[in-house]
Amino acid sequence: MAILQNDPIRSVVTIFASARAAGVSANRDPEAPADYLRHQLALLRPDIVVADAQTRNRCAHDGARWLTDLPAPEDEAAPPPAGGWPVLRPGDPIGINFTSGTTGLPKAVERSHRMALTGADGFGAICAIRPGDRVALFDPLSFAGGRAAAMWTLLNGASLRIFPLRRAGAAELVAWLRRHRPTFVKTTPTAFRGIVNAVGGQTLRHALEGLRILSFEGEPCRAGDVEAFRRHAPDGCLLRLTYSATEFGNAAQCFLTTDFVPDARGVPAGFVNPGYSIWQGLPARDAAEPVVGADGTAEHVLHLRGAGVVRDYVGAPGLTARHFLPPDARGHAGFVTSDRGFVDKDGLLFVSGRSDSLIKLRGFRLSPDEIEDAICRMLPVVQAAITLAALEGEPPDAAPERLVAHVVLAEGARCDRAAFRAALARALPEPAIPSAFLSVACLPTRPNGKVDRAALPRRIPAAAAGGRRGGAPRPGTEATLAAIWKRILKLEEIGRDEAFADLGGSSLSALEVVLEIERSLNRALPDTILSEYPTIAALAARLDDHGHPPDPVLSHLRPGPGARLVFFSPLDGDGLGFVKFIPELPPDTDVLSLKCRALAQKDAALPSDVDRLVPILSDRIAALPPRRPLILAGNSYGGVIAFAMSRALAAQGLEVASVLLLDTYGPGCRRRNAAAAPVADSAVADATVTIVPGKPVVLAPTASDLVLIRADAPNGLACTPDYGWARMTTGTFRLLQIEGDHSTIMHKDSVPIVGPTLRELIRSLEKPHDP
Amino acid sequence: MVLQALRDRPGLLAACPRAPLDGAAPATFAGDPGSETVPERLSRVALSCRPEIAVADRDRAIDFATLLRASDGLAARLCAAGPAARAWRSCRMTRSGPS
Repeated sequence: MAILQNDPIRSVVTIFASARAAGVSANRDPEAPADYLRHQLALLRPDIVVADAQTRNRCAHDGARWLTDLPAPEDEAAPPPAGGWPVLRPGDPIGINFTSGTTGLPKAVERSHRMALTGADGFGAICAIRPGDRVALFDPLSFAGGRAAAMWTLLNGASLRIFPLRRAGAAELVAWLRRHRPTFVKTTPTAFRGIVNAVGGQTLRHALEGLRILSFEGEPCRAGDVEAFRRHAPDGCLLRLTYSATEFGNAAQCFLTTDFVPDARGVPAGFVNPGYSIWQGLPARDAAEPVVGADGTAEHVLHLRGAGVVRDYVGAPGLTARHFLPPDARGHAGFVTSDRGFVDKDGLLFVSGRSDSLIKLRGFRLSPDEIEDAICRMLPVVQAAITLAALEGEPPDAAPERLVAHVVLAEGARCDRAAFRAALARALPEPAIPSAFLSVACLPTRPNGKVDRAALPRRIPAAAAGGRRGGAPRPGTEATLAAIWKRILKLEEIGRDEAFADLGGSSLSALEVVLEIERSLNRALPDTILSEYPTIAALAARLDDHGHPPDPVLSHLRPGPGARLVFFSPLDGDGLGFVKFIPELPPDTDVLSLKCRALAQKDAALPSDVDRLVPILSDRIAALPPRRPLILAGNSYGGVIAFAMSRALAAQGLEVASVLLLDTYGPGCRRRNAAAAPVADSAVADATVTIVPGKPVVLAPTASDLVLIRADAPNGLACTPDYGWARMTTGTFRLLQIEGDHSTIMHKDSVPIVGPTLRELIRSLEKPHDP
Repeated sequence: MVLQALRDRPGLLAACPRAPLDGAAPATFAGDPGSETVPERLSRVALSCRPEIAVADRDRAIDFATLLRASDGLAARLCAAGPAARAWRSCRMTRSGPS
C-alpha cells in the first residue's frame, strides 16, 4: 500500500492500520513532483494507494485501487473484518522505506516487524522513552527516519506531536512548542539552523522548557550546531547524535551535554552501537572508476554490519550487489556506505563527509562537508552549501570551475568576501577556500529537511566573484592589466588591490595572464611574476619600471599620493610578505618594502650590519619624492631596522610620524635559559639588541611614536609586556597584543587584526594636527 | 536512561549498554523482540499504560490509545475495501515474493 497523504497524523494511523491488516506500506511525500511520484509508484506497484483527492488527480497510477475517503482517526472504529484479523509473523514485512535520494533517485528497502520492534526496543531503552514523553517531529513521515520515529514513539507508549515545519514555517514554531512542551525533539541539523535563524536573536530556551533530549539525525552535526544547542537548549537537556541510514538503521549514537567542546576532529557521530561493527574498506564503485586520494592511496569508506542492516534494495539487484555484504553466521548483513570517517580507539565514530560528494578542482579533491563546517564555525554564517559554478555570460559548455559558497548570514552580518577568505585561511588550505560567497535567504532543501546541493545554481553573477578592493585601476598599465585579468578570469570588475588567487585565479589562468601581458607589452616576464606581484597595483608598479632589473633593496608595492608606509622585512625577507596587508590600508597609501636580505649576507651589494646599512637605506628613502606622513613598519628584526631608521631619517630632516613594530623583540627581552645569549644586553645601558649573533645593535630613543603589536604566545623570553620598547621613544607608545606566536604575526590569519590597526594608524596620522 | 561519562571527554556521554534499565533488557539494538509483531506490541502497550487522556489528532498529536482505536477501525476498513488480507501478503514488491 502506498500512502500519499498530506496529514502526517492520518499517515501514522494508516501505517499502523496497514500493519494490522498484514499489509506492507510505503509512505511518500504527496507534494513531490508528479513524475517523481509516478516513478516511485512504478517501483512499488502497490495494490492500494491511500491519497488525497488532489494527489490522485495529479499523478494517476494504473493498476492500483485508490482510496481517498478513509475515515478520520477520531471516527468510530469499524468492526473487525469478517473472518478476523490476518495472522502475522515477526519476520513478515511491514513497510518499504525509501532513502532520501541524496545521490539520485530514492532507493527502497524492506523492513520487517522484527526490525521495527528491535529499533523501538533499543531506542526506548537508551533514550528512556516512556508514557508521558511527548515526542516532536518537524519533518514529514515520507522518509525512513520519520516513519521509524513514529514507530518507536508510539510502541514505547509516548505521544507523538508533529509540527508541519515545511508548510507552517519556523516562525509559528515557538508558540507550538510552548503549547506542546515536547520532552524529545527529533530533527535535522539543517532544520534546527533554520529555526534558530527564524527566531533571530531570541533564545528558544523558554519555548523548549522541559525538553530532555534534542536529537539530530540524517545529517552530520557541526560545531556550530553544538553551539546552537548550548545556546537554545534548557538546562539539563542532552543533544543526541546518531549515525543512521535507511539501509542500516541506527549504527552509532552518543549524547552531548552543554559542557561538550569539539576538538580538532570535529563533532563525533556517536559510539558504535552494540550489535554493530564499523570498519574502513574500499568503496563500492565500478572498477573502471578507481578512487584514489590526492596522496595516491586508495580512498576508504565506512563499512558496517549489524542487526539492523537490511539485505538488499528492492528491485535493484545491481545496486544491491555493489553495496550489500552477505549475512554472517548470525544473519547480520553488511553494507558499504559512501561516507568517509573513522572509529577511534574508544569506539567513537567520526564521519568527515561523503566520498561521492567530493569536488575535484584543479587537481585537488575537496570535501564540501568540511568546507561548510569551517564556514559555519568561523564566519557569521548560519548555513552554507558549497558547489562548483561557472559565471553568467560564460559559454554554455564552460566547466564550472569556481568554488562558490552559498551562505545564509547571521542576523546583522555582511557578506565580505575578502574578510571571509582571510578568516577561512586559518582553517582551510588555499584550494578549499571559496572564491565567491553568495548570500541567500535560505538554502534549498529536500522534503526531509536536508540541504539539496543539486538545486543550487550552477551559474553565478560575475559581480559575485569580482572585488573592488583598492578602487578602480588607474589609467595606463593598471587599466591594461585589469582588462587582461577581466578577460581571462571572466570578471566584470576588479579592484587594483585584489589578489589574483582571491579572484579565482589558478596556476593555469596565471600562465594565461602572463602570456597575454607579454604579448600586450612585447616583453618577456618570469612565469612566477603573479605570485611575486599578486595585485594589479603591485604588478603595474613593477612593470612600469620599464624592464629595469628588480631593485635589490627597494620594492614599490603600491604607488599612491597619500601617506607613505615603508615596510622592513626580517632577516632574509624580500618584503613580499607585506603584500597581503596592502588591501587593508587606505587606498591612496604609498607602500614600499625594503629588503633586508643583506643582513643574512645573501646580497653582497649591501653591508650586513645595521650601523652601516641604515645610512644607505635612509639615503634611498630620502631620494624619493616626499610623502607625508611617513610611517616605518617592521616585522621581527625588520622592526629593529625600522626603529634605527627613524633616527637616521630625522637626522636628514625627514620626520617619521610613527614606527610600527610587529613582534619585534626589544631591549627588555632576555632569553630565559641561556644567560650567554641575551636578546638584549643590559650591560650597554639596557639599549642593545642582539639578534644576529655577534652583531649587537645599540639603540637610542627616537622622537617618533612607537606602536608594538606583539603575539601573546610564550616566546621563551624573559621580558616585560612592552619588550622594553616603551622607554625607547620620547613620543607616545602603544601596545596591542594579538593571538599567535612570533612566526604567525605576518601570517594571513593576522591580517584582520593588523590590517585595521595599520589603517587606523595611517588615518589618524593623516588628520591635521590640532595646533 | 543510563549514560556513561567518559574520562577526559567532558560533555560526551555514551549510552551504557551493559547496565539494565529498570530491570529491562540491556539497551541494545541487537536484541530480538521475540515473537511479537507491531500490532501486538501496540495493543500490549496500550493495555499496560492505561492512559487517562487520549489526545486527538486535531492538534497534530496522537498517542497510542487513540492510534490503536483509529488504526483498528482503519485496518478493518482497509481489509473491507481492499482485496482482503491475502493481497498484502502477496504484495509484489516484497523481496521474498508471494508467501
